[in-house]
Amino acid sequence: MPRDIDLTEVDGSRWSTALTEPNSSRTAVPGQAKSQTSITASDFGVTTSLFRLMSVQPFVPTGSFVLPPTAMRRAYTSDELSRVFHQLADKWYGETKFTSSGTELVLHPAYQRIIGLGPAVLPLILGELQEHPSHWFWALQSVSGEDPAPSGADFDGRRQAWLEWGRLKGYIR
Amino acid sequence: MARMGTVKGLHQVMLSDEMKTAFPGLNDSNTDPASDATAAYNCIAWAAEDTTRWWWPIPAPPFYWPETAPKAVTVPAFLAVFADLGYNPCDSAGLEAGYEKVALYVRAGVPTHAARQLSTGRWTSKIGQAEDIDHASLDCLEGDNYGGVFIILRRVAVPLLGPS
Repeated sequence: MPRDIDLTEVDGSRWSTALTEPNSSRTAVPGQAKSQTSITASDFGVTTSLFRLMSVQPFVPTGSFVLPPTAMRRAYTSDELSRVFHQLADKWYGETKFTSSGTELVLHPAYQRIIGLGPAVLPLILGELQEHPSHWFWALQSVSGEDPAPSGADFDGRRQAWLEWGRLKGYIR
Repeated sequence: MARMGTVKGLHQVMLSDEMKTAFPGLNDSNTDPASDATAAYNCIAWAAEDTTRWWWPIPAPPFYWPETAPKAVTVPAFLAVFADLGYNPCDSAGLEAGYEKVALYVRAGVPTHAARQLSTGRWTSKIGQAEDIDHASLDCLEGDNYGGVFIILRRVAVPLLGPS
């Protein structure tokens, strides 16, 4: 019988935090820091630590960088990973479905933990995007380091671009 | 949890209990669901009559924000967006002939929601990733989730073109 997985087992927050820490040289985005200097956490109505998370673009590796030790990410079987992902996705959707704030959507702890699950979660995110269209683009960008959507694409265009990307990569049919 | 907004869609004719819990001012007599649930657009987009993008001032894709407005979750940034659409502050939420109105909700100084007035005097709101609703008054949505109405904006209505 499948067991319920305690979401606290999902050690993704450190991983995602490491990737999006603005002071980290691994995540420096040219020109980004300077453009943010006039905006503060209070502008977004969030705490300073949350503001740090949102003050950089989704992680896109440029040049050389060092992956965090794999020990930081728990190894799951595919069934466990699927259960963890869907529990987190349900929690995220249930707790954000009435918000209009993009900030709250992508900084929700469950969403951040999904990002922290790493590349193995890409087929699950894409499957979710296929069946239940929602705001998975930020997570896909953060995990894959890519953005196949054309600049200025609307929601449907962005979704189609990511699904096509997933098919080309063999993540989904 | 059953998700709303599946590809096939499920048009809801009754207000969900979950929405009534989240917004205690809503009930079946003052609110009508008016669309399927969708994540394609949010309340700001809906107020601006765009049903293709999620408007939010995050300084990076995938969200949309007009280039002319500051990318900060502040009241001035949201007012700048609606000013570009021709809206200016006004005193009354009542129906005025020749004008279209938008209401901006704020919680703890942070913009949370926008509603647009219909030609009947009722209001229409997109509720997050859930459905659009038509509601009788602005205070239906006031509370812990969206805070309260901060300002009413209006613009001269664009006349509908009839057959020539």
